[in-house]
Amino acid sequence: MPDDTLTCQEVLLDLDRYIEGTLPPARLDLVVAHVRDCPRCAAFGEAYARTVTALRALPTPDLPATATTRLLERLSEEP
Amino acid sequence: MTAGPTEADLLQRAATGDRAAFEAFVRSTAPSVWTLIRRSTACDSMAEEALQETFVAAWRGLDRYRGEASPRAWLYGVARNQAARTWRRRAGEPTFTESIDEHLGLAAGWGSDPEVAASRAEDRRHLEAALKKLSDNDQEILGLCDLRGLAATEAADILGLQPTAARVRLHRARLRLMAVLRKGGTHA
Repeated sequence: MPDDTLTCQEVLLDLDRYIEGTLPPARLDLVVAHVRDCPRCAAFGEAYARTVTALRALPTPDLPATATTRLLERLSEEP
Repeated sequence: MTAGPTEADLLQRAATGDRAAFEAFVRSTAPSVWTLIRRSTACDSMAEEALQETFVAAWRGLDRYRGEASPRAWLYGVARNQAARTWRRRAGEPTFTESIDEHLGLAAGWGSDPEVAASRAEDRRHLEAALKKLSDNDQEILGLCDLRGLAATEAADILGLQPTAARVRLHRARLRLMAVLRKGGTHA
């Protein structure tokens, strides 16, 4: 069991700032210490980071042809 | 072979009420406006709403186009404004949360099998399918921050939220995405 001042729940709350590197230094030290000793939070933090990385790599989908048709119909209603 | 009218020509003709010229302008520019908008949200319906509002605003505001900027620069400015309005309208009231619900983390695999969600996220088909299962608000914040790459504080400005509320919304949306991925099997 980790023996520091943060609980797993508190680390879960800070995961986003942890992977983005925006935690204040003192808080970062506590999270790093916790994750080092807690396999559960380490595994979840890694999975969370991989999910965010995959999201960021998604390409932007093309404009659907039907959306162009609906757009032109909408514009035809304009005075 | 003669070159067709430029986008600036089309806008000038549209400003005199030439609808065919505006339609040609729309067909020429809509794909790139879509890309600009769609990078800001993972939600197709929100992107399409913003796309329509952009071109309606452009049509109504043709007399304000002075030709000082390129037609696309002007149009992209209109698109950014209309997209921000759409996001704000959809965002609703900001919701402050004191803590992330532990159940959300558990559903995402916290303490059990987080590897499942991460592995499925790395399969583009699974990830896109899972995104579509999220609420519009979740898709919107993921689109702004993870697809477009804005910081949560920048997304907060666009959505009219407090920075902390935007951060919490983003974190929860990611956890909900992981939960959907984890539950999703081969057809999330």
